[in-house]
Formats: sequence, structure tokens, C-alpha cells
Amino acid sequence: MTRVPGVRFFLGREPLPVAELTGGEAAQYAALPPHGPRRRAWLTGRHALRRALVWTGRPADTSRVTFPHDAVSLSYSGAIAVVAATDGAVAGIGVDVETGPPPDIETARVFLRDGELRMLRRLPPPRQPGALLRWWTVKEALFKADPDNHLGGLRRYVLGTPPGGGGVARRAAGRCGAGLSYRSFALRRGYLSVALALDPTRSVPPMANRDFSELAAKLAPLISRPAATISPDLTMNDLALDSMTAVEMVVDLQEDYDILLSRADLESCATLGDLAELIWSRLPGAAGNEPVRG
Amino acid sequence: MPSLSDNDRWLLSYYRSSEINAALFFGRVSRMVKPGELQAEVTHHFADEANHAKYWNQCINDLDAYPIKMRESYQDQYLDAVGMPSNLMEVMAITQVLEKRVIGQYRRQLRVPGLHPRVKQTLDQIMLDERWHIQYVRDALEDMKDRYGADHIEATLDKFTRADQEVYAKTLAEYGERVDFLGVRPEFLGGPDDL
Repeated sequence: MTRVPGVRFFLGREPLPVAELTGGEAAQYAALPPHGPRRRAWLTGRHALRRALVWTGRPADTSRVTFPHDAVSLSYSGAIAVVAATDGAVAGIGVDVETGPPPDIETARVFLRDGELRMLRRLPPPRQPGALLRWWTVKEALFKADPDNHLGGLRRYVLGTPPGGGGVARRAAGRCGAGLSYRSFALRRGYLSVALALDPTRSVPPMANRDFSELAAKLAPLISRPAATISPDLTMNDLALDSMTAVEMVVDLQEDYDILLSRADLESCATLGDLAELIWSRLPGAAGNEPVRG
Repeated sequence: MPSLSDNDRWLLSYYRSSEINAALFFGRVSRMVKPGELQAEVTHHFADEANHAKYWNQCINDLDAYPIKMRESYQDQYLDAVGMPSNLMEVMAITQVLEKRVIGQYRRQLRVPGLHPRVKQTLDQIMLDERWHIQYVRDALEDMKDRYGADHIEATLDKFTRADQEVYAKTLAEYGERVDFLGVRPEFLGGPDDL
């Protein structure tokens, strides 16, 4: 089962020849300042964007693309351009690549929330600049992916931990909207991050239609039981877990899936099938995935 | 001649047992937490608690005795009372309350007249770690406010603190004369912050 749609990157190093521009692209190109690096960068970006659009099955004319977009996103750094594209049903995709020096640590307050600043300060000082640069690319990617990004700036997106190779993010306020997930890659110099806003209108298939084996595989080492013997109809009592193992199981699942479950939620689960359905219903992109309190 | 009275030996063994159970608890928590800063802190905490058990074992040995083999611990009595945590925030909230209780208890022990210098040395050594535990758990809960809600975290801490006061009172009553020398009277049973 794949919960997060696939993403492909297209790197632009060379500008698209002006002679190959469509009418719409030529008009956009003409509106750019005639001097300076903007025109070359724009053409390099169009080169990558065209290939990405074709890959998604869309017309290659880049002049019809407006951002935020649900299939492609574009980022520039120095002489290169990177386009991230997805062929999955998502509400938005965002990419950011940064190969320059990290932002000044004093600017962190502009895009990190108070809790994130504390996390940054707790990192060993030599790691802080790199972490800050990665944080920036993740936040930029999240902003670009969010169809509602006009409602706020980068501080609106909340990461529960310092950004690593991937994870999920939340909006600090406002309507719940689409769930946000990201992946981040360390480059030789700098970082490349991509984010997806999952489509909240897509309903989550019922558990019966999903692959229970994923959950069984997660539970097997936790409850010291072969995955093949873990079925949806097993009750919690059947598992005969000691209390700490039960805690480890439910907290581990919440951390892995980045969801919240309350005591009342857990008490409502008679079987592992119930637990699986509860987890699935709380995943980003599932209908009614508001945070759980109490 | 043994340096420890029966009650001293029992109490220090109880501390050792509580530290062992705390280490076992944090060993499990270390496996639950996602990769990141909190993961490193909880793993450090796990190692600290195991070391504290070792310190108490060494302290009792240095006082010409062996620890009493026991399974009782304050954590077990507390978790029996409040129920097992259902998410990571509750795990950290319980930790915050229990760490404050530990500091309060160890401070109380340090004030006992005629405290053996070897016991004082062990308490001082452990207290250094305990202060850091309180700090990082407080920060972790602060960082969780966006995810769980500040009010919800506050209410959870209040609930767990009230439970701790009840369990502590029961524990003192249960162990009666063994802990009489600590000079705890019911009217002084405030929350861990008051200790």
C-alpha cells in the first residue's frame, strides 16, 4: 500500500531556447527585465517544467501553469532549477532547493515558531546552521504545496521535530484542510525538500479494502508474535499484553503514523481491526482528521 | 558492624528498585520516540536512571550491606492509580510529575538529621541529573503544545499531580514506621512543587 503519492524531480541546467517558446511563454518572457540573470533562470526553469508537465500527461505549454499547483512545483538556486512533479491525486505540491549558505541564525524567528526555535537552540551549535537551512527548505516547500498559503506565512506550518529525511507538518491555525507531508534530501551543498498537501476530499478506503499486513508487520516485533498470526479479528485480550507493552504499542503506532489517540479512542477498540480502522481514519487526508483531545 | 539500620537499608533498596523500574520504563519510551532531539534526551534519561540504580547499589554495598531484593517501586504504585498513558504527551506528563516527586523525596532525605555522608554523596550525585530531567521534560511538553493543546497539557498535568499527592500519602501510610524518620506529616503533603 502506498499512502503518499510518488514524486519525481526534473533538474534544469540549460535554458530553453527562446525560439521554442509558445506564444504564451514568449509573452511572459518579454515581460521580464531585459538585463540581469532573471531571463536565463526563467528559461532554465521552463526547460525543466516542460519535461515535468509531459511526464504528468499535461500539455507542455508552461504559460498555463499557475502556482500553487496540484502536480508541479518549481524552485531555483543559483544557475539550476528543480521541478518536483507528482502523478498522484494531491491538493498541492511544493519544492525548494537551497545550495547557498544557511540563513543568518537571527532570521530564524521569521520562519520558525517558538517551539521550533527551542528545538533549534537545543541542537549542538555546529549543527544549527545546517538544520536551519533544511528547516527553511521544508517550510518553503510546505508553503508552496498549500493551496491555502495566502492565509499566512512560513510560521503557519508546524513541524513536531527538527526536520529530518521526512515527516508530516500541521498548520498552526485555521481550518484543518489537507494533511501535509514532506521529504528532505541533503545535497552535497544544501538541501532539497518537497512537500505534498494531501487531498482532504479523498475518502479513505474502509479497512476491509486495505492491506492489514502493513499494520501486522508493525505490531509483530512490538507484541512478540509472528505477523502471520496477527489478524483483524484478534481482540486486545487475545494479545495478553502486559501494561507497558500495551503502552509501547499504542504510542509507537501514534508516533509512526503521526496521529493522536485518546484513552477513550483506545477503549473503543475491541479488536485489532477496530484499531486499524481508527488509525486509518486519523491519517492525513482522511475525512474528519481533526486533532484529538482528551 | 553494619552501618545501615533495617529501615535505612529498606528505604535505599526501595530507591534502587524505583530507579530500576524508571530505567525499564524509559528504555521502553526510548524505543517509542521518533528520530530527533527528544529521542536522544529520552535515551540519555534511560541511561541516567540505570546509573542511579547502580549508585544506590554501590552506596548500600559501601555501607556493608546488600540491597533487599524487591519489586516495589513508586512508579508502579503511581501507574496503578492513574492508569497507563495513552500517548506520548501523557508519558511525558507522568514523567514530569514523577521526576518532581523524586526530587522532592531526595531533598527530604537530605534534610534528615545525621544522614550518613555516603548516602548524602549518592543523593547529591543523582540530584544533578534529576534537575536536567525536569528541564528537558518541561521543554518537551512545551514543544507539544501545538500538537496536543496547551490547555489539554495543563489539565493532564493537574490531574496527574493530584493523583501523585494521593499515591504519596498512601505510600507513606503503607510503609509507616520505615519512613517515619523522614518526618513527613499528612498536613505537609503538598504537591511535588512544594517539596
